[in-house]
Amino acid sequence: MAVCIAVIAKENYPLYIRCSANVEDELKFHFTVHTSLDVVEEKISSTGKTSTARAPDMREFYLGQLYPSEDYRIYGYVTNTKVKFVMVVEASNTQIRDNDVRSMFRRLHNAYTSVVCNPFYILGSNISSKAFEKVVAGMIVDEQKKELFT
Amino acid sequence: MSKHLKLPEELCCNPTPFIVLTGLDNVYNAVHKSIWDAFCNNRRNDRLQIQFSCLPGDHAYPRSKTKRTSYDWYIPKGLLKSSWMKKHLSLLPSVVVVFFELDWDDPAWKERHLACASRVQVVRSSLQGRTTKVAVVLIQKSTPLPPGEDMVAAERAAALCSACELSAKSLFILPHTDQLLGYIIRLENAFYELSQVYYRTEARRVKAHKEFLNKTTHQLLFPRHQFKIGFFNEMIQDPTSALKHYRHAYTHVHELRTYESNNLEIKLVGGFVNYKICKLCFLKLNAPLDAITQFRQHVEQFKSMCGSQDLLFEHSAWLSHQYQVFADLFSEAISKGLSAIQTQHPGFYYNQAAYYAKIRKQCAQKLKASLQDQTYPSEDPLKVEVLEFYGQRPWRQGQQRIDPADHSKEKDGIMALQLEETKQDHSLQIISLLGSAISIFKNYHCHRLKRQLTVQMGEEYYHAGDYMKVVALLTRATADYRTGRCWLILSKILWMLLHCSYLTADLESFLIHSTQLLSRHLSIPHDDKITVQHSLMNLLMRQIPLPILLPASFDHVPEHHTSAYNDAEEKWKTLLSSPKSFPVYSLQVTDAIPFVECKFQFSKPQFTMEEVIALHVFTRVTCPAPCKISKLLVLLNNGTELSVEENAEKDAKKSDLKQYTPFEIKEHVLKFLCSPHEKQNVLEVRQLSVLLGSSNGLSIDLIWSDQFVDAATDPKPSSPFSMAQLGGEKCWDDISNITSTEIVECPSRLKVNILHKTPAFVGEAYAIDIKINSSESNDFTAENVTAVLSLKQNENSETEAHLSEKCSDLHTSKAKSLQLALGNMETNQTIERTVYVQTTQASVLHFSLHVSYQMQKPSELPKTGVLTCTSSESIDFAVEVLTPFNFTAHVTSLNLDSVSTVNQNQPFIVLVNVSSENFSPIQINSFSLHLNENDGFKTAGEQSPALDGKVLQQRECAVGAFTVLCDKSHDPSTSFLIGSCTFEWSRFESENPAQKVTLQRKLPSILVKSSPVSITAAVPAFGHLRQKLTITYSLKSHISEPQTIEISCEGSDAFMFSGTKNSTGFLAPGEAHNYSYNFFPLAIGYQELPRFMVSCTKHAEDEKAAQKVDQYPQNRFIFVKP
Repeated sequence: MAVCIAVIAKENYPLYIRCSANVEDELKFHFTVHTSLDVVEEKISSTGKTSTARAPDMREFYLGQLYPSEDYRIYGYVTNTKVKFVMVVEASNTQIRDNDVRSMFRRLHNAYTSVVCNPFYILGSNISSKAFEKVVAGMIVDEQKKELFT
Repeated sequence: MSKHLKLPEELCCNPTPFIVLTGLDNVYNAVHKSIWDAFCNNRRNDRLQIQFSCLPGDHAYPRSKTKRTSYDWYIPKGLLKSSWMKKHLSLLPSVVVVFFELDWDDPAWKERHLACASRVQVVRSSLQGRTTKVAVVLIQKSTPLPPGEDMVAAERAAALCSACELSAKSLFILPHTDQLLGYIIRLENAFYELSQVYYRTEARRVKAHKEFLNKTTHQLLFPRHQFKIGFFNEMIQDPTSALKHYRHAYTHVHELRTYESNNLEIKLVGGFVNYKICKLCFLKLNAPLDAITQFRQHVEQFKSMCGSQDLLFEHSAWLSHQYQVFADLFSEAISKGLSAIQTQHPGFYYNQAAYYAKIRKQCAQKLKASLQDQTYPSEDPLKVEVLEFYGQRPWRQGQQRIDPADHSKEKDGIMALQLEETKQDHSLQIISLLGSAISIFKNYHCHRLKRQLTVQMGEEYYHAGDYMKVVALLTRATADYRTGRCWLILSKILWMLLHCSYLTADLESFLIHSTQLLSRHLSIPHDDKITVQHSLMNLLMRQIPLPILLPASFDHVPEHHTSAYNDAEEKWKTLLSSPKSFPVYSLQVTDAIPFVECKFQFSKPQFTMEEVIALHVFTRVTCPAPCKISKLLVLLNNGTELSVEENAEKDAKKSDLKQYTPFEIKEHVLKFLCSPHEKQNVLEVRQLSVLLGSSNGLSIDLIWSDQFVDAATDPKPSSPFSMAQLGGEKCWDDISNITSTEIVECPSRLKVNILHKTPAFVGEAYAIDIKINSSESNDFTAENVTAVLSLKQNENSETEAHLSEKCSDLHTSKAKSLQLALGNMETNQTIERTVYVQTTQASVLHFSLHVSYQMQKPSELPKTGVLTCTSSESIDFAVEVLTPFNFTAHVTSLNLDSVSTVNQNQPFIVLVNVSSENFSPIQINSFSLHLNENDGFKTAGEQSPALDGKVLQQRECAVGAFTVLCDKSHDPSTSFLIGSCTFEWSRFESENPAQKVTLQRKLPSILVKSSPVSITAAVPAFGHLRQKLTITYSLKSHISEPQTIEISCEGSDAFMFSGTKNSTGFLAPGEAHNYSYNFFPLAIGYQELPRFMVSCTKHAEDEKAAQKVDQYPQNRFIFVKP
């Protein structure tokens, strides 16, 4: 499924970033995640401008596809506390549809909420929760498992 | 970019109709020159898009091939001929115009018109077989007459047309007058129409070929013909139909069978057609989305057609070029008003172009390795004068076969191409593409993408061997990744930077980047980290650093890199051996992530002046190997500098700074005293710096200020659950900076008591006793004890209060605060002082007492001598001020009825009521009345000292009655003050005679009526029912004139009476009359007596001025008992 999943703090630094195990050049995804923030920021500010009348929590969290790339599709999601999730999917992976991405983000959001609810977690520090790790691993490794079973 | 992959110029230009003008002699004939200029020069945008050319009349145009009638045996050799577009754009005209000077009334008409006809004939013959239009323009000196009037002209024009075999529509007259440009523009339009007809016929002619083609042998001709039709349509400036035909051509290209030998040809022509489609969509039809979709499909379809494995680089180069060309088109459209968005703009395409250029470079590098000992084929297979078809190999032109005919030739050709490729400067191309992308990303709020490209650009410069540029570019990029905390990226950049700083022997850059690269946040392999640290330590000792190698992913080491290492070593040697001293390089830690971390805490949030202030400084290093710190310096906000220095030579024990093992937390406690004159009571750390390196070698100064954290740490407080609390070891993250402490005075050891008997009374000298007792230990003398009592008042408060140390001074003192110098106090000594306060209004007075003193104490730190401490204590207290008693005064008649008006000369009573509400008893010592004698008030009869000596307890009251009369006549409408009274009072049983307070109060005002006659009546207090009651009214005149009086007594239901009911009398001055009445009460209770009324009339000289005054006796009611 996803090749790379990242959680970005409100202040735009990564809290968590994980790439699929069979990825050679991890650095490239760090760059991709970092650059996708440009678009995320722009999207947040533009929705902020147009929908001032709407309550902020009514905002759509899912940002959709961020920017065009030859090999990857990059999706974004922003929580109400301005924590960003970025997911990179291979462009060749046509099985995964917009709705799947949406539900994956929702699961990720739930997992993140549980992380934050942990009283020992310091807000703004790197995420090192096993439960969260498990959720992310489920989204990333899916593909390999499928291959194993078939 | 290889030349053969580039789009040809004729494809990129805007096709315009080509028209040739002949018969113009621009060199010798001024008239011709001006005509030519009008056609060609200063063509503005609103004029038609036409390409003019001036050629001699006998110019040889490209020969027409014999038109074939059937395509049956024809086998096409290629897709698109490279000469075709050029031919139609600039060689083969659509219209040839013959200019000829001939007037209708030319004397030699006959000869001249035949000469003209022969000129036309020459042109015709050189256009043999072409459908090019021919037109004739006669240049005439005179303005022509309106058509139909000049019979000669019409006749001769017809003759000329027939001689030249021209239609009448192709003959034009150009009178050479001053409105030349107007005529020219009209001519131009006519030519344009002719050329349109020409191109339309051409297009139709090409279309007609279709019928002869079959799909097997003539597959190449389908795209060719469609392309041609599209091109002609572009000539006519009909973009819509041009687009349609180009699209057809594009699909035909895709239908072609591809194999290795024609791969390039198909790709190239496909690229051409794609370019045309995108260009039309972007620039002519304003359909940018169509262009983008087309391009995306184009890339999608051709991306996989990589062709021969030996020529992979060519495919990448072609793809890169496609992207670049598309980005150029996109940019052009934007400059013409198209608006792009953040996620769809030319920057992405430039970036992609750069990406493919990089792939191309990688291919080329692989080739380079394999081609090292190959030589260029002796017979250049690439050498060819002109390629007949686009995209064909020079060594096998015009062949359409799946397998190459000559294998050795093919091999040589590929080898030649490969060798050519290795000579290319790829980095430069990539850099320029990245440059274009960066400049576009900048405009679309993509600063992170821009940064990424900057990093890529830096890498490219690295490959190109320009290390200075790498340092400059990447240094700029570090800040973004540092604030973004992308450690992986940052590690890579810093590593590269360090590597390049080493190669360029850039000392400052090397120091700064190595300091950061050693930080725990950055991940590079442990061994490399150790190398970096050794290099840094070497450098700080002024020795040559170890070479910094890049990670294995950068395995490619161009040949000039090896020499660069040697150069670098030389450079370092010369730099470090030069005798000059280097400055201390300072690094602001807020902009860096150094491997040294510092935190500090004041041990308490508050220190008294006598205490020793302790500042704990925690440091640790996160580099892999132990290291040294030479100096630690703290700068406070009062300018004090505290330092811990390495003094290894002098004192071995003090060298705790010297060695730091990684991740060990070292704590230094800096102890110092605050200077006694320090008025500032908050002590802050301004700056903290750590000096690495030695004074004789090189040194770097890490400076913490502002937030006191490095770029990797949040200034926020850390977790509420600290490891230390949980019983673990002290954890670095749990230490938080405490940057300030408060300096306070020593605690006061004076006991201050304030004694006073609240409440105070208005006007009283109220005594406040202040009692100070020193309980300072150890027999320290409290020096210069000063007490300041001050009154706290609101600004708008009207209460006046004065303070004084002496009771008798209170009237003169205006002091709001008092300073009492109490001198020195020994231990257990007590000082008492009394202060008096007086106020004029009931209120609450707030006081504050501030007692301060100094002490000399020996300090706790050795070598610092005696310490002067100051201490102080403040007490606030409030005093309630009340009025001592309530005072009221009333005026009553002699019967104690309340009145507001009194008659002149008639006595009345002033009642003075004094009541106390307070629990402390008050004694009225004396009371005196001061009547307003000026207005005629005086006492009537004797006065008793009714109030003197009275003591009022709480809720008691004392009343004094005073009989007063007024003997002056006044205006009855104004009231007059009766006078005032004076009390002298004191607190009961007060010993202090000075505390007697005199108080003056006003008596009420009253209206005084003047009366000429006074009526007095002796009315008994009561009467009995049906018992006679005698009342005598006595009248007395008070004026000096005689007066007439009328007496009347009105009957009443309650009384029967006898006496004068109605009479008139005369009253001389000073005379008195008595009238007696017997009243017989008929009803009980309060009854009004029959109304007795006197009206007096003054006898003046003037009758009219006589005043009539009605008067009644005072007592008009009587109580009747049964």
